[in-house]
Order: sequence, then C-alpha cells, then structure tokens
Amino acid sequence: MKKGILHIGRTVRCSIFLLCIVGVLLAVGVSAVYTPSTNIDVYTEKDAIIGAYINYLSNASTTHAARGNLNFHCESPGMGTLSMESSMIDLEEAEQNSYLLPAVIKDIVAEKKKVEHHTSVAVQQHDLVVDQFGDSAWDNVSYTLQEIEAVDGSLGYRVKSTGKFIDKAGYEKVLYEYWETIAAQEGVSYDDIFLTEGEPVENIANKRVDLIAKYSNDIPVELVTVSNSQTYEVLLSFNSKTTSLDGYEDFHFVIDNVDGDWKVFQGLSWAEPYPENPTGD
Amino acid sequence: MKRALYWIVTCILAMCMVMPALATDSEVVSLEDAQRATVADCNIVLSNINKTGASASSPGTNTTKTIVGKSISPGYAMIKLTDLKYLGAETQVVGNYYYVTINGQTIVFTKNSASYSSSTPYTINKPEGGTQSYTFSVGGTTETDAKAQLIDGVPYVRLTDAAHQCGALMVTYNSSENAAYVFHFRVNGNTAHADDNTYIVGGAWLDNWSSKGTTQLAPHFKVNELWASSTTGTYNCQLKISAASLQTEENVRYHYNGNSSMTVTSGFRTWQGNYGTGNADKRSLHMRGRAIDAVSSTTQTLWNNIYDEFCGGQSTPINGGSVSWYSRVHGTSSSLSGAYDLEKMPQDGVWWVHLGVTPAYGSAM
Repeated sequence: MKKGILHIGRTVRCSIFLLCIVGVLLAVGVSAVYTPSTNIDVYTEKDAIIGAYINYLSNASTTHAARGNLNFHCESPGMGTLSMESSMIDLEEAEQNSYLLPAVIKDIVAEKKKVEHHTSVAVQQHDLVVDQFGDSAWDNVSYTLQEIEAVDGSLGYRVKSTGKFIDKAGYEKVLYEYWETIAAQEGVSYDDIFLTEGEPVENIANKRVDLIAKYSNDIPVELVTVSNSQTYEVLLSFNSKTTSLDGYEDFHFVIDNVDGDWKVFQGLSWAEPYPENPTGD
Repeated sequence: MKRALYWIVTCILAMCMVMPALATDSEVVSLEDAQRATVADCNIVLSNINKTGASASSPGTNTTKTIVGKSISPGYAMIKLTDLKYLGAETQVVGNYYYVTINGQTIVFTKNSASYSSSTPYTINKPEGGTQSYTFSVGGTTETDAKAQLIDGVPYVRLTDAAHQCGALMVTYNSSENAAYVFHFRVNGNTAHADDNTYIVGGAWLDNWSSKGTTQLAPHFKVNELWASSTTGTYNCQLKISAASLQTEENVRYHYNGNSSMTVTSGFRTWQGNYGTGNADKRSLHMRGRAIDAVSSTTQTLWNNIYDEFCGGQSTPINGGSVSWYSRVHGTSSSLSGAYDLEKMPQDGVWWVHLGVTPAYGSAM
C-alpha cells in the first residue's frame, strides 16, 4: 500500500516538476515578447524625453531599427502616411467586444501588433521628414515648446477674456447673465431660449436655438480640462524650416507628465496642405 | 533529505513561473479589479480628412489631435463634452443640460439620460421673392450605460452620437492602436478650422431616421433627395448638407431650369460612397455638405443653360437675381470665395452641373 502511494506520489511530483519547467519556459517567452515595453526608460526632465523621441525618429529608417530603439512610452504613435485599412473596424463592433476596455490578461498578439504598428508609423514619419526637408533633416532638428490644455483632468471654468479660473457657481452666474442680456436684447425671455429643469429634451425644437447658434461664439466663459500635470506641444524645425517646399507644416508631437515622469502622449503629427476647393467633382 | 531538497527545488521553480506574472501589476489584473474596472481611459484620435493614407475603409489622417476619453462597460466610447471644441463646437452646461452648438445646430444632452435632441433653424430666400423658415429637429437615444453622465465630475457624452451629430464624416476604431478615430473636416489640431455654414445633419444613429426621408428641407427638395442612400452599413442614408447648398439648389432650379423639376444625382456623399465615385476628389465638397450634382428632367437643358452663361469663361459675377454668381470652368483654378461655385461637368458623355458652395459663403449669408 505504501509503495502504491509512493508510486503515485512520485508520478504527481514528476508532473509538477515538468509543469514548472514548462512554466519557466513560458515566462521566458512572455518576457522576450514584452522586451520593448518592459525596458521603458524613465524621463524626469522634459528635454530628455524630447531628445530621446527625436533621436528615435531620426534613427527609424527601417522597421528593424525602429523596433530596436523603442525604449520610451508613446501613448499614441501620431500620423502615418500609409493606409490603415487593415486596422480599421467599425467602432460599434469594437464597443460590443469590449476592445476599448483594458484586457484582464494582456493579449500578447495585440501587444505585438501594437509594437509593429508603432514602429511602422515611426518609419513612415522618418521618411516623410526626409522627403520633405532633405536627407540631412534629422541631423538639424530644433524645437520650441508650447504649453497646451491637459488631455485629461478635472472640469475647470475659465473666463475667456482674462484666462482667470472661477468656480462652478461663478460660471453659472456669468453664463446666466450673458444669456439674460441676449434675451432682453432680442425681446425674448431666458426660458424662451433654454430648457427649464425637467423639461423634455425634445422641447429644444420649440426654443430660440437660432439665438444660441448666433451668440454662442461670444459666451464669456468656457469649460476646460484642468490638471496638475503639464502638457506641451513640441514644435519642430528641420534645417531651420517649419514648412517644407511642398507646404507641409506644423510638425509637432505632444508630451506630458500625467504619471509623474515625462512621456510622449502623441507622436509626430503635421498639417498636409490641401486645397479648400477640390479640383474633382 | 532527498525529499526536502526535491520540494525546495520544486518551490523555486514554481516561484519562477509565478513571479513574472506578478512582477508588474499593469500586465495582469485581478479578477476583482477587472470586475471593478467598468470605466477606463481610452484614446480618441480626432483627424481631418486626407488623401494620403486613404483607403476605402477610412480617410488618411491630417492635423490630428489625440484626446483621452472613457470606455465604459461593456466598452462604449465616451468623449468629454469640452473636447467637442476640437470639432468646432461651443459647449455649455446649463443645469442638467449639456448644450453643444456647432454650425447653426444645437444638440442637447441631459445628464443621466440616454435621450438627446438636436435642432437646426435656417431660412431659405425664395428666388421668386419672400423667405421660408425651417427648423430641422431630430433626436437620438444612446444605450442606457452610455447615457450622458458625469465621470469623476467631468461631463461625458457618447462618442458616436456626439461626433456624428456634430458633422463627423466617420467614426471608427483602429485595432492596432486600440483607439477610436473621428474624421471631421473641421479638425485642425488644437484650434478647429473656422466654418460659418449652417449644416443639416442626420444619420442612422438617430431615432427613426429612415422615416425622415420625406422631410422637406427647402421649398423643392426633401431629405431623401440629398442623403447618401446608396451607401451600405452604418452610413446608409447619412446626411450633411449646408443651408447654403439648399439655397444654391433653389436658385439654380429657378434661374437656370425654368422653375421646373430638377433632379439631384448626388447630394451628400459618405467617405465610402465618394471613394467609389470615379473622378471624385478624395476631399470632395460633397462629403462636406457643400456640393450637389444636378440634372434637369429633360436631357442637358440645365447644363446648356449654365453653359450659355459660362461659355466665355467669365469669372465676374453673373446676374442671378438677388445674389451674385460666380462661374468656374471645371479644371481651372480661381479664387471664388464669397459666392456660389457652379461647374458644368460634361464627362463620359453625361451632362450635369456641380453646384458647389465655397467655404467663405457661409459668412456672407
């Protein structure tokens, strides 16, 4: 009986042992796949992340080079020049499949696809700059910084003319007074323009929305996103030029320090020229 | 001794197997956290429409602006009310109502309600004299989970409904970036392109949209003459048309078509519909709601009448009644801001006129 138990015990222990070996091999495999994202460099200074990203794009002449140099966090890769056809699916389908929610267990295939996409976009960006500003474009890059509204944060209320922040009650007071003045000027009442609390939303069809449309541009207060973090647009010049011969301009990327350290929030983006009046039908 | 050694080795190996999974909490989330995580950040890329990088499934990107939205269970994308300004909208919160005003249209969302409503008033000057006022009103209902709501004290609205109703050409999902994409002609980075035109906007995201086809938009033109009826799927019957285009249509019908029936062969075009249209510019005015192709009920009559005015290649105003008219012969460049842009389009043995409204016209109305 004891022998039998011992025999069974050895069998089980052997299985555990083999499972452990398989587990170790799997863990090593997973680590290898995640190499680009687990070796993220930390940037405590914004100039450092700017330099690193410019250097990254400068060297991204091939997919291989771009992948090997992907050692910083880039939330969104920015613009590419090639078709995104294979990646685009209907948003509602994505919503129904919860694609926009974080996966419980990280999808290795999706991670790999993301890395491939980021590196591909970086190569496209590298090549476009060379195409537009010349072979030496990446050797002579300068930049200026412009602080912009945070991409995420809490709701803030700001006076447009002064830039001064006010509280919610102040916002509502200024807004109400503005529309009261408009209403009086137009010979109607405030309630002729806006819904009263509890009124069905479809009643807006009976309101003076023409006045809302006419005067909304001049509302003296605005809703903005406020944050303790800082967000900057990094505006680039190549060979001291901000506009290429073909009229490409506004080359920039966005950095922020939402999580404490600096990262590239949006990769390189630009404005490609186009005629307001299309030449075709 | 041997047994003890065996178990020590086994435990070390087991730890080796488990440790990588525990090394970073961002990689694996506990079931409890996963169940709690019904709201998460998601990236939304706003983009203008570009030819470069375009395909049948989506335009290419231009002057993008990436923002952070929320995804709420089971995965609906929500956009901050304030971020609609990057599409050119003015937003304000009045009590429990969120007002979004863009291109003559006011959309109202109610906090904690799935219902929203939109109203667009405009006036058409009748070519024969007098005016007629219209109010284009539509409503929609989001899924209950995706109702307009405060998330961490910030007002959010459902992305697809809000962006489409604000006049976006397309809202889609990029699986390589795990981000929603919104394509809209007004996107221009941090500051939206100016556009003073009033647009009538609608599509399948609205309640009972298919029954709106017979709604009269102008004295002689209905919704179903202008929407994109030949497009399949999400964008079937999508509509965005400027009040200025409707005015042009009425004027041309009256002055050049003998005040008689005129057929619209192409009104608003979806991205997919325009992409499949031969000779169409990938940034056609049809997708911006500022162009209409039309023919008369009798062959070539309308085209001939326009041609008679245009045969000299004039670029000076042509008397069109109460407004000034400018001509443009297809294929030549000219500066036409401030007026109608009429083109005669003899292509492939077919004659029609392309009634385009140049961008600055709206400000002259």
